[in-house]
Amino acid sequence: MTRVHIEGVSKSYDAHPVLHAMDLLVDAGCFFTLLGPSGCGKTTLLRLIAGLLDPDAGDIRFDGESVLSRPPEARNIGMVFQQHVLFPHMTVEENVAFGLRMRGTGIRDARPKVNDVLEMVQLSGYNRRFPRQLSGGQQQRVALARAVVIDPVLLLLDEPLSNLDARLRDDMRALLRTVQRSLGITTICVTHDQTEAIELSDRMAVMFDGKIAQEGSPAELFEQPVSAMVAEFLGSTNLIPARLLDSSHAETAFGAVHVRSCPDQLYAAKQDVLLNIRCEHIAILPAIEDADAPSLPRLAGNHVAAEVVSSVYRGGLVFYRMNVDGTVLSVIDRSDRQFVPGARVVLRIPPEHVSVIRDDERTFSP
Amino acid sequence: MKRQQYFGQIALVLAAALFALPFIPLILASFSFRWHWPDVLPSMWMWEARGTTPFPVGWDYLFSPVSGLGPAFANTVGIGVATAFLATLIALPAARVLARYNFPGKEAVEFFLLVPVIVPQIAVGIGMLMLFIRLGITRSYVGIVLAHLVPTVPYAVRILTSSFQNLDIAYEEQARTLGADRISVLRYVVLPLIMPGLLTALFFGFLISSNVFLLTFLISGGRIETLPTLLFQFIESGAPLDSTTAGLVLIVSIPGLVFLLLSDLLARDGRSIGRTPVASVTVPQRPGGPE
Repeated sequence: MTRVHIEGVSKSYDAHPVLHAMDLLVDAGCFFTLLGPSGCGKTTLLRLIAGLLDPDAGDIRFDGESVLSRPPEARNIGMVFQQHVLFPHMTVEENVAFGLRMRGTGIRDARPKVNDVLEMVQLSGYNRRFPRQLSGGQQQRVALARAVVIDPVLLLLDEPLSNLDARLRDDMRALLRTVQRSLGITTICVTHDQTEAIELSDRMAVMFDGKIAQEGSPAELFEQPVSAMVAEFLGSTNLIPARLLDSSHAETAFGAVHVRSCPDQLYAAKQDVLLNIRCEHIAILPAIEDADAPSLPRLAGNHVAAEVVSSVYRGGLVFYRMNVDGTVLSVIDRSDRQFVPGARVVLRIPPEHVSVIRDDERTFSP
Repeated sequence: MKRQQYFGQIALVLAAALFALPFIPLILASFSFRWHWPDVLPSMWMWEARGTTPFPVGWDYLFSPVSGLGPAFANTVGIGVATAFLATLIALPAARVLARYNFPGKEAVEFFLLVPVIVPQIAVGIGMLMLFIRLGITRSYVGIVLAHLVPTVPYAVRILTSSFQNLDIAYEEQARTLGADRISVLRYVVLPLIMPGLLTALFFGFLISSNVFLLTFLISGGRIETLPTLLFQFIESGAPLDSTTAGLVLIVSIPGLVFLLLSDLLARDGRSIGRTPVASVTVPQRPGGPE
């Protein structure tokens, strides 16, 4: 198990900066995911760690020892590329054994180990097949087997699931996690898919424009994003402009909202902020039967009256747009009941799930 | 559906006929002793003429030591093989750079590589002759092979450039991360994957070299005969459809036919043992731009 330390790493392509003095610490045995839109520099970082690129500045250290002077073949890294790039002229067995043979092991001595990893990725008996005789999912599993058979100090995954269809993706995700756990390899995974990141990672970081915007556990990032960009990238959330009244109350277009208390030193009262409320955290209560809805009094405990604008059924869940005094909120609810557009409901916004984000983060720039 | 197959077969027969027909008069002529207009077939065959003249006729002459066919054949094959290997060896790194990297003056280099194919060979040949006289390598195998590199290297570079363009660099990167140094990457990954292109470059190199007349003629100064220069002597000295000339023409076309069959066999072999030609390997698109 290896601890990976990235210190002030910068990289430009033709004077076009891609990474800006990046710092990152990945703990031994950790499954770390770099999440970001394409072009944010995450793949570049992965290639720098693998030694396929050299940084312009900074240092990369495995267990405290700099690896910059070592070429890729001397870093003992297992890497799974976005396209599974199995060598087409080699059988599954030859592909998996490649790393071992490059380390001087004969094909016969390599065979037991090859069979072990093929069993781990559920491809026992596929030894003699050629890559083109395998499905995309099988090829990806061979690529994983080939990367881990060499007992790498570090496993790098570049969008490992992006070429698979939805069902295979679920299987492969589970397999990745099992393999990583059972071998205990420090793993750095790059993806633009937040579901992938959440389900796989122990820790994750969201990257924009060559910088890490936020790093933490998946839960931390979801519950307390530091910026609107992070919150928006993680998706399915409402960002509501508001003004802080005190450390636990904010004024919005539809009235005062009780929020999760935020540190005073960060947010002064009267400051413009954004309230981050994830769609699935808003609860829908059937409307109270009463005639004069317009004058419906503000209810205690963050209850607000709302009207259903639209509802979309999506396998087990219903996605609503709700109009609250002119502000549109997105809400995700379970599907055993469905409110039709025009229905009047009451939304409960749990204060512990309302996090405060500085508004100036919206104009985030590197 | 049946109709289409029918037309397809007709087209196939026509194509085969177009390829094979010119050989029929050649084969007939090579076995003839006397064949005058307007006869459809030779009026006297080679075997009928045996013993009637003091000199060997047709194939008998060609296979006699007097004809010089043996050394010319050996020279052609030797020079052809050497040229093919050298041209491919020179083209390999050049093609990799042209396919993989952008550098200032790249277009100029690409154009420069085409120049020997565009410029008349006589111009190239005279220039080389003057240079080679100074270097003292005229009338030598070295000189001839060097001259033959001029028309062969451009083809080899073209063929291998497209091989490298079809070879995703990710294969090399993947091999590096698995512990292969540059030499191992070349040996175990790059060369096997561009093997179809490599073989094509070798075949083309040989075929072009074995057909070059002018450059060989200029540089050899008559000292080293190859099949094309020998053929030219024959044509110069006798009637174009002289039986010996016809026979020699048939012999000259042997290497081409052999390589055609060989490459076809290799392609079949490739399908059966899984060495997919690079051209048919589906290479996934890599996302453009740095990420």
